Amino acid sequence: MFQNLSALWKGFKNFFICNYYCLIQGKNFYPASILPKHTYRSIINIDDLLNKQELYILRRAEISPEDLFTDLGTLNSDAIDLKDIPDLSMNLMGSFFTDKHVKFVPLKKGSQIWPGGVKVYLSDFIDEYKVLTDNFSFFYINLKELHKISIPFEKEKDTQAENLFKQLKYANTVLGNRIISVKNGTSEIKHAPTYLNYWHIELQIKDPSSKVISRGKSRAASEILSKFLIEHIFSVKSIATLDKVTPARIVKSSYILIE
Amino acid sequence: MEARPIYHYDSNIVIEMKAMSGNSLYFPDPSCDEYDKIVREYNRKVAEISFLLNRYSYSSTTSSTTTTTILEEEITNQEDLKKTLLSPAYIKNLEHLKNSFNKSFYKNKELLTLNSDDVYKKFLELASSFSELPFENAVVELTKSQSIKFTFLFDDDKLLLISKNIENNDDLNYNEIVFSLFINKELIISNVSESISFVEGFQKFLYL
Repeated sequence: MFQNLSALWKGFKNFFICNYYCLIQGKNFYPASILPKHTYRSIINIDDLLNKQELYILRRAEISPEDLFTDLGTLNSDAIDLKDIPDLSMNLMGSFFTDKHVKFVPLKKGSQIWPGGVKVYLSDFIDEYKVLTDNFSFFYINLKELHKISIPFEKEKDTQAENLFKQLKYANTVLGNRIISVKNGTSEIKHAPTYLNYWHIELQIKDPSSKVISRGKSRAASEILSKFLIEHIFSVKSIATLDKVTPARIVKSSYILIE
Repeated sequence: MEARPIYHYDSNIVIEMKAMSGNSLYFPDPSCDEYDKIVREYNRKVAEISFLLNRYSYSSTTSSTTTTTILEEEITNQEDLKKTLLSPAYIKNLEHLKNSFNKSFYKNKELLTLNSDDVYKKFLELASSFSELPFENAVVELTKSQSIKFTFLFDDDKLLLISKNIENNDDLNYNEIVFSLFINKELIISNVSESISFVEGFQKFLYL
């Protein structure tokens, strides 16, 4: 009984505070559709998602839209700041997150990890987000291009790659039916829902010994991996629109708890 | 073989190779074992000097006063030399890379932590090698993270990306680069390689 009354009171408070700030003080309405709900799973399993569908990621860039792509159609290497990798923040598309939400930037507690099972009232976060108005842009990239890829690359035997290896006089690079590069790290997408954005994901990087590299502790080797991701993978694989692709919708069972 | 200075007359600039290279260059005999290496070295030196002179907008008159000696009369068979050593495609490619680099340089120069002359020098070292590649289009980016990145487009939708950290604070050697080859946007190979041997190997790969 008490819990019901408390929830009702919080609901009313939320309604009035949000409307006061947004209607009277002119603050932009934060999109409630991307907030975590207590019926959501605390973590979405990315491997399961990828087994089921082709999904895209959206990333905001703090450069103007006209500078976002080069004359060759590759992503400007300054679209992502090196210091933002590892744990690069991005947004998972295919459900409620759309490009209209990219201007909202959660701050402080709003950007902290949502622990799961907790109802989020926007009125508690009224000063914990900012709204960008200009000088930003965004791009998309297929989830599978970043999840569990090897850096530098390792792939199935390929005649073109083999020819180039031969001409470069690399020794012992063909092992069995795979071509192995000298130093391999891996990248992985991790679901990291925050209080203000359930669809927030992060790019994790593992060094060649499979140790997760944490931000601020990167050594020279991890800088190569991070730069490789920005300057090579993001550069070629990022796209400006989703017009020519067919992104799937995330199935509800991937994120809603089933009783 | 007797060591002699090589001179190259590039538009309005006379470049005195001997002064800049410490007597290390001489007319190569095409039959000698080191011919390819000498040609490559020559191309790099010409590119470097030409680029630096152009950068500082020296006229032919001022360049002649800054170089130690101008001995145009000693240039023998100059046209043949140009034809052999500096193909129009090489010069065109280098110009293209320079223009692209300049665009990026002026946009990002205030973000550089290194001396801009050192950055130019590093760019030049790389560009003078990469100009040998028969690319259709290219973009050079000087990034906020202190890297020079080259993106080359070849026929059959081959995209070659090469990046080099100019601070040399990664664990790569001074001459090593990170490269990736994409065909139809699919990553075919990525690795670390020494830059000059990479160019040699990649050229052979393209002509397979």
